[in-house]
Amino acid sequence: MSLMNGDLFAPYWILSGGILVTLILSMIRVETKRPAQISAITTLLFTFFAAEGQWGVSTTSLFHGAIEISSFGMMILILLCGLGILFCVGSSRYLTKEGIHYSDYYHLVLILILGSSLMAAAKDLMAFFIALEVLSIPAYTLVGFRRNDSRSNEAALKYFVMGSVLGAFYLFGCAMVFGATGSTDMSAVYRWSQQNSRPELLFLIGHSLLLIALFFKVAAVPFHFWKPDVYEGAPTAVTGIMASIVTVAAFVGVVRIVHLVDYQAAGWESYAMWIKSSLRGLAVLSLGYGALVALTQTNLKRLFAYSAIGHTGYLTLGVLSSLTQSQNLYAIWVYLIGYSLMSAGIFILMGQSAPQADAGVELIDLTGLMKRNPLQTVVWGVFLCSMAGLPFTAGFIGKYAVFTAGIDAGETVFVVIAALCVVVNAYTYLRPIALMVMRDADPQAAQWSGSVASKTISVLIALAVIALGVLPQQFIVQLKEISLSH
Amino acid sequence: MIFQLWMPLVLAVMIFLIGLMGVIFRRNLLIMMMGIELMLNASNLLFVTFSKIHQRVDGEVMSIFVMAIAAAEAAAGLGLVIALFRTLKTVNSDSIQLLRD
Repeated sequence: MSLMNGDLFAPYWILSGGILVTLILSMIRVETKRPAQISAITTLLFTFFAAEGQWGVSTTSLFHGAIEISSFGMMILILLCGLGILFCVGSSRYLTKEGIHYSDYYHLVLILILGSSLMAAAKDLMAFFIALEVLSIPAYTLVGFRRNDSRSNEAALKYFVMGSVLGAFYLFGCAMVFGATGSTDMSAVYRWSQQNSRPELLFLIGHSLLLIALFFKVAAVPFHFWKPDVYEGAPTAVTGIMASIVTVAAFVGVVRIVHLVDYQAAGWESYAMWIKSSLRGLAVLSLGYGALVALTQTNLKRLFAYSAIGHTGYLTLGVLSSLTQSQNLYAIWVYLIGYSLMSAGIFILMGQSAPQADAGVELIDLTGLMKRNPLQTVVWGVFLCSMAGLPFTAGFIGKYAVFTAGIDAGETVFVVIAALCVVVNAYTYLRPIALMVMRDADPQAAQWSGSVASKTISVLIALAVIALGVLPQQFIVQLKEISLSH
Repeated sequence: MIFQLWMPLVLAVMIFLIGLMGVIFRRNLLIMMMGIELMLNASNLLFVTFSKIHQRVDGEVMSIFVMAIAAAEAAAGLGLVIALFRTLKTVNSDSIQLLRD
């Protein structure tokens, strides 16, 4: 263990340095946004390749065990940098259309990515909390980015109040875990659980508070109530960031906190049962609620917010199956990578499709799109099919992986419930496709505005979603090698 | 009565609950933010007390981190409250109901 090992921490140093450069550029050149945008994209590219160069690194802890450099952390960093590049390139025209193209967007996105990637690297509950706040504070600001629009402000404030309260829950839980185990180091807590055969009440309350805070971040029912409002009020590009980058980070957090103790250790059987039944409850409620409420939505952002609650349910099923066999964790990563790609694509495309500024896309706006713009319709179709989990898309591979993992872990009943929800979800996602293809064109409806670069980005994401669905083998093999260290 | 180490623990839990009640039952956004600060400070008290019980300085260091983060969070939150006040002319959470099903 070393205090600092500069080489290994390099990707995070590059990202941090890039944040400062972008911040300075956004301050000195206020009339044009290009320098900040280019600086942000360059930073993300450099970080991407630095992280890619460290793929397969042996697990090393830095800063007295607060941060851990591992393949897992690098995988998350690579994924988040890729998503960040998509948003930095793909949403500039949308932001201009809305009149909110400030340079601050780019450094806020970079800070958010730094926080999210450090959440995957943190091995100490306090470092994890700091990463969580580094992620949350830019997220609050970004949600309120349309600062002259009261809906955006309201969404930001709701998110802020809920997020801060749950941040305080996390902290209180963290203090209790510290009180029970004498350390906030995750490895030390894990070892404590192996040596201590009787879970203390103090630890149980603390761990539950930590779990509540994290399940709030992923919006599992009954902690979901903020999600539709925040998704609707936020600018569309930011909704995309919430649905992809923040979801990835939050689920990484859930996995870390759930796996804080050794459930196979002697004396922890009843606690493992309790955690499993809570996860089952959360999964079933999220799946059912998300599937049913999404059916009646007419605003596309709200529709995808409720469907995101449903996706949280599938992912919770993955977390549940990883409790029995920790190699099942790969299913969560497969699902998360596919889901984050398709939600990034769908929200970038939605930003380009909005009929006028200051309005979300309503379902009705898509009517007859096929006649006006076949390529755009195909891209929409790919994303919607992937969300529904049709074969040959990334969404299908994710659901397949989660269901296989669930059956492996003996959760057959819950896999059957999830499969029923897939059927209900299919109606939600295929209805827009039917509207686009079967109805006549409506002159008032959605356009495809956007620069060539941002249109290309949407098409490329659609191709990536199909590529993951057609050739998943190599990709799954790589992900199976990734394991969490304790 | 002699000071004992369980006393600050009970106090911390009480302060946390008072803060939570403040967030849930008060309608003024600024008071709600004060409630959040109370909850964070209750966690600080808990950290410092456990630090004393375990005879380790970890918890005291944590409380300094928490103060820094609480300040950053309050800065972001106050900015959002001001932006909201500019558009809606109110800081009452009951009158903020544009987004709902």
